Amino acid sequence: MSATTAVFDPDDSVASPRDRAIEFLAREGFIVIFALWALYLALATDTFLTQGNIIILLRQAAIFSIVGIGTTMVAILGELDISFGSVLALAGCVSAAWVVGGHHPVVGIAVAVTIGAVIGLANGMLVNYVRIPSVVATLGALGVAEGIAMMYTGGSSIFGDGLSRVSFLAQDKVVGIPIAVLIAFGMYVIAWFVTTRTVFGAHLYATGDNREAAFRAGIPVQRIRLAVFIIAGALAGFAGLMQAARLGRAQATMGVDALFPVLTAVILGGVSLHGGRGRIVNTLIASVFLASITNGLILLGVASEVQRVVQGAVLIAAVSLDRLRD
Amino acid sequence: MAVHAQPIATHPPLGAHFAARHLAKHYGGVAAVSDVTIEFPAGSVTAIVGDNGAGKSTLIKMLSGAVRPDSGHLEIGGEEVRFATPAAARDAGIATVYQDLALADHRNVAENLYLGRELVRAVGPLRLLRRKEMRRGAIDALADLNVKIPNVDREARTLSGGQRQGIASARAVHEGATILVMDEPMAALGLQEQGRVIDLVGRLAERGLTQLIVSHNLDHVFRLSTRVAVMRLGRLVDVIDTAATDRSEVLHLISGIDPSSRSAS
Repeated sequence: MSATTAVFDPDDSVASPRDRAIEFLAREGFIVIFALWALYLALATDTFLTQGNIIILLRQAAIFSIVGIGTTMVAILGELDISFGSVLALAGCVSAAWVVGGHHPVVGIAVAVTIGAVIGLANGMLVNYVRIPSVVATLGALGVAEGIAMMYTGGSSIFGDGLSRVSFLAQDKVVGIPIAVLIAFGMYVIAWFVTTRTVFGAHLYATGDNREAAFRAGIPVQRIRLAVFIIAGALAGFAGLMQAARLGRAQATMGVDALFPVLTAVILGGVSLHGGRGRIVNTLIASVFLASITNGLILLGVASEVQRVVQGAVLIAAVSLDRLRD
Repeated sequence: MAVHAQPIATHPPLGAHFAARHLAKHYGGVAAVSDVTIEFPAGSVTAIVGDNGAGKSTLIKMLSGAVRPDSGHLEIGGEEVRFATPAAARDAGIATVYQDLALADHRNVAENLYLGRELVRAVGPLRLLRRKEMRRGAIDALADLNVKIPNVDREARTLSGGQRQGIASARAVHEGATILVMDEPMAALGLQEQGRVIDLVGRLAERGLTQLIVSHNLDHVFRLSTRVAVMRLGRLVDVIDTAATDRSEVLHLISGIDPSSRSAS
């Protein structure tokens, strides 16, 4: 036995301030950049920091940020789900058609969530039992869901007066805040709680971090993976109906726009593509950041082509930050 | 999902007398292990040594439940036991401790200690983590085995190999293991780190834990073990007290060349 019985070894406790600064920047650097960007916009434009603009910005971020919750959880698991765009479209089209056809909004929500969950279940089973890499499995699901949505809609839009019964999901406000923003925020609170305070969350992170160790420790890694893909699908499905409500119609192609901002938000927020790392809340902040980039460029009068370039550059910068974290 | 709602036992039960009787395993027509009978008294630290192909890894796998023997059986505390799976062996108190495979790198020390056995509080359908109690329990469990970790909030990846070995061992003990199988516990460790592992093995032995160590490094074997079991060509050649032997005798037993006969010839 050694001379001291202290558990805490002072020599070995904290990293140098410089190391900590680098670690902070690597992990939360995007928040610093976000703050600088917001500060610049506040100074350079009269409109950015107005209540009206902030509400527009949050509303823009809301729907895709809900999808981002599921994508984040899948990424924490060390997997990648890229099917959410067409899941959103298929679920949005079918549930919008049900609502237009006279069904209650609650039925519409249930339909959207169920379609998403079923595709998520299929994704999870392909990864678990057929042992297909998740990118490939969800790429297949992306194609299949998009094709079904095309067949279902016959290539045309689904709209009608009945759809106004779900428009509250995207249009209405409560005490000045859009319901979509409240829903997104509420879902983030739940997701934060589940991932940080429950056994499921602990097992999610452990499985993504070291699947072998988690398995040996008796964690049901396959059941967790199945659950996470189902949750991701269900959230994308729900977002589909919200998107239909926002646009006032549903189209088989309406998920195409989701891929880029959702994946960029997840990576920018610091979810490692290697799994086991990342915080749900960061995806929310990154989603708002991305919306503020588009919003700010519009306010600054930058051409829309240039906006695409900036968005692409942000994605690359986000992945570079992810490398820096290792 | 296994849920164990009791806090860490700071004083684990005493180890068990572990024995193998007439273990044999064939692969095709080749006898990997033939008729091995060996005792592991509670509190002993037995190193199993032998050349490549001597059968030690097959023997270890049978002892830890990873491979089922063709014939023979194991005994824990005099009771005959048979394991269908490694999980069954773990439930019977046999834990295999790996330096690298055991820990989730980006989880903190406390989370790793309770990996898969988190303390929970049921609130309706939710199973909430009792984080403060786990943190407290981790500090106690590590202090109990004198495993020094700067801070239980640190991520496992920031720890040294010796500290990782300590956490993995503490977890096995806290899960109620009475027999620990350690795979190369001092591989790739610096001298000071090796000292920590030696301390830990000694403390676990004081507790009465039965320890089996697999190592290819004879220096490590001599520093860690109280007994050396030598395998050659699938058979157990000898079990000797570490204190009563030396490197050259062990090497001769491993290679099968008798020094006295060689010097006589």
